[in-house]
Amino acid sequence: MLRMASTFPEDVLEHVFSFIQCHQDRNSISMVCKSWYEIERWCRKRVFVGNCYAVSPQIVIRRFPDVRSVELKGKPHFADFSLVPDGWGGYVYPWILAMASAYPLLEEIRLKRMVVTDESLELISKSFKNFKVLVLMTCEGFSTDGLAAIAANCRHLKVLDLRESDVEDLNGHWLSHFPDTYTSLVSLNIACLVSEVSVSALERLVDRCPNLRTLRLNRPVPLDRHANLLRRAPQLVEFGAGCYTADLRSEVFSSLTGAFTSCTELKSLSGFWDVVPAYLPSVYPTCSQLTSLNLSYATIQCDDLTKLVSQCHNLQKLWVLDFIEDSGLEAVAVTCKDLRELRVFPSEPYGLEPNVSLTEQGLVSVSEGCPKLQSVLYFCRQMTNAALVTIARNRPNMTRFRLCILEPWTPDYVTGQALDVGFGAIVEYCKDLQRFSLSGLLTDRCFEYIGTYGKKLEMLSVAFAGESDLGLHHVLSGCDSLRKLEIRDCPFGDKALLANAAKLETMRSLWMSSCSVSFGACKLLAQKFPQLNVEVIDERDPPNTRPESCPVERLYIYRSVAGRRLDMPGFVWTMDGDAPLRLT
Amino acid sequence: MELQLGLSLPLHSHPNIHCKPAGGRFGDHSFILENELPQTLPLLSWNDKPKDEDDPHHPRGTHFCNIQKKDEEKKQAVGWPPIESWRKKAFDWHTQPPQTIENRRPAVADQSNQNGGRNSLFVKVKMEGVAIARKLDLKLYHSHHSLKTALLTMFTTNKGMDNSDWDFTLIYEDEDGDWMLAEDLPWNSFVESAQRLKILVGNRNKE
Repeated sequence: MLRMASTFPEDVLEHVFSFIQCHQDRNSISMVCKSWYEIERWCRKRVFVGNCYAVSPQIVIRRFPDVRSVELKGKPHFADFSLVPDGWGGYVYPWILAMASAYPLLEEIRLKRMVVTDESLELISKSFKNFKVLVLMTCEGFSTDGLAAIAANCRHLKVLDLRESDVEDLNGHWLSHFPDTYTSLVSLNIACLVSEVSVSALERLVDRCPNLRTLRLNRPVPLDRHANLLRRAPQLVEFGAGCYTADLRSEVFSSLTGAFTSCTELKSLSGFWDVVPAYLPSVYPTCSQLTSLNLSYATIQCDDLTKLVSQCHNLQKLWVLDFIEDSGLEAVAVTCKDLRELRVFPSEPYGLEPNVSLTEQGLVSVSEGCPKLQSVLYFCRQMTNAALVTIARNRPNMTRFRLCILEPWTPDYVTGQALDVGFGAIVEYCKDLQRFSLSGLLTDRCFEYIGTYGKKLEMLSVAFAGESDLGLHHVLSGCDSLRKLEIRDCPFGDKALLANAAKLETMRSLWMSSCSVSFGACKLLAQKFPQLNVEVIDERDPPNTRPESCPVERLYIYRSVAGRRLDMPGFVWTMDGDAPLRLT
Repeated sequence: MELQLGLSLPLHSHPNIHCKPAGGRFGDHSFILENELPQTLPLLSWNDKPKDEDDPHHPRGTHFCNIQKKDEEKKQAVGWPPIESWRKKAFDWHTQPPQTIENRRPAVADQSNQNGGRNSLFVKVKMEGVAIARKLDLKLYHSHHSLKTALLTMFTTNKGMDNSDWDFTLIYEDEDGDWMLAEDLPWNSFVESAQRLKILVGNRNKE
């Protein structure tokens, strides 16, 4: 093999490599031999960095000199739930600055959970002459002024996707900055913006971009402007509706119905804020062709929801509020034979009493009726081991299973037992399970099941679970493929962490908050494993003012080839591996 | 490396252990797990009584960190249930009952306010007997009448309610937290001061 490889001319190999897109495969190629490593690095066009502090932009640029597409992730996942204090970090500016001079041909930037300033956006808009794709997922720190710079300067922009970003919304004028000669837009997602955009500017933009396939409006776009927008873009594949409220007028309803009927390519619907149920039938003409329906922002009651989903025979992805109730999910099970992904969000997560009739039964029904179901996120208030075992047996093809029982430490409501056996069954039967989130009352035994069976598990989220270090030990010693582990409010501490410390070098990151890991153990870890950045996040006093045996507030550990980061705020301490251990 | 794991009580079931010095626990810098805990017991079977009646949110709260304990009066742990912040914002949920005025009106209005004239003014509306609250933008309406008509459409469509049987009274909560009759105030002043709305329902036939 090696001899054969060395006889290939470099450009032939380069051509062969160009067919391999998957990042893991590219990484494997680069490990074959020195010459493959060299060829691969010169022709790598796409780079994915799962943690922006695991490597520096300089190292990436040195190794891959001709990159066209960069995907970066910043903050830990728990930042989505406000567990990472503001100002923690994840700044993209140093990356943009370095890439601006190194990658003039850069076309795509995709960022997740990063702090993006207007300055960064301006630099992007001016540095990359052929810039095409900007996806900002759950990013923050920028305003509509930065977006105006992108609109004004990126003449070849195809995708502007602000998915769930927290934008400082100064005004809606930024949209008018797309020049009159600009025609290349393919995808626009502004659903996260709160202020009104000029609908006429949007209409003009839609008019002159014949390739527009995705348009996700924000909440202030009024219902009576929807039909007009849709009629201008009958080629749309994905549409996110804005505010679906208006006084009932038959001409508005009929023009909407007509507009949806003319969109024959439509596959995905989302949005529908403040929806008035009487207007919902306007989307019925599209139902049979839909593969994706996200109604997780639409407060539609059970009957109307059921009527709607019962017409969506080709649905692959369904996101809804728990208003769908067990009866609506029963209808999904009967109708949606192609369903792969189901997410059910709570409508009143902080209410003490259930406001809807959604139980474990809804999920059981879907697991029975939808043979392709492989991804689940389900918020509910009650669960049983029997239901979980049934779900596991029904759907061994499950790869992502996230169950959130709203009240921590909720046992099986029939038997009063912990839910160990039920969650254990999921990980045992679903051999390809990659992502798993636990909730409810769980003992260490559940973690023993996870360590024993979760061989392909890549990401595990744990909250209010376990009894002792043994729980964490089972996971760290058993889950061979584990890359990300996030834990909150569990009695896991030093022993399990230190005994499995070498495992952390094989993982992307470990988050532990309100657990029992001591400051001393953090220091020891950093000393023994200089490749790990051990960050203690504590908004109280400096952790070194307390005894070393005191548990740290939050702990974030990740491997890095870039060394310690320099942009830490005052409440983050990275353990210095060189400092002598002070025992108290 | 052979691991000897003791099946024992969680370390932090002993509240007094919390901040006690570990006494040279890592003195040998080894990573070998030792049976160092004072008691070694079989796995506790606390399945039968999973919750402490007195404190449903911290039933086994002894293993909580001290910070958490300080906030014990808080009903809900931060970040639980795991609802993404953008989702919370869209539904105007707060982890705690809104106590301050800043909390009441979504950031939408505050931000645009700084730029002269609000673009939108979302307030929450509840109707007696209807479980689901809604949010609407007051800027979309121009009179008490148009607002009331829209609200009735919003809340009574498909509910089988015959409007002629019912009296609907719109009240609002002002900046001071007092509930007032909406129509007692001129439209513009009402828009300025309403923090949230409620529709009271009375049956005409009963009286």
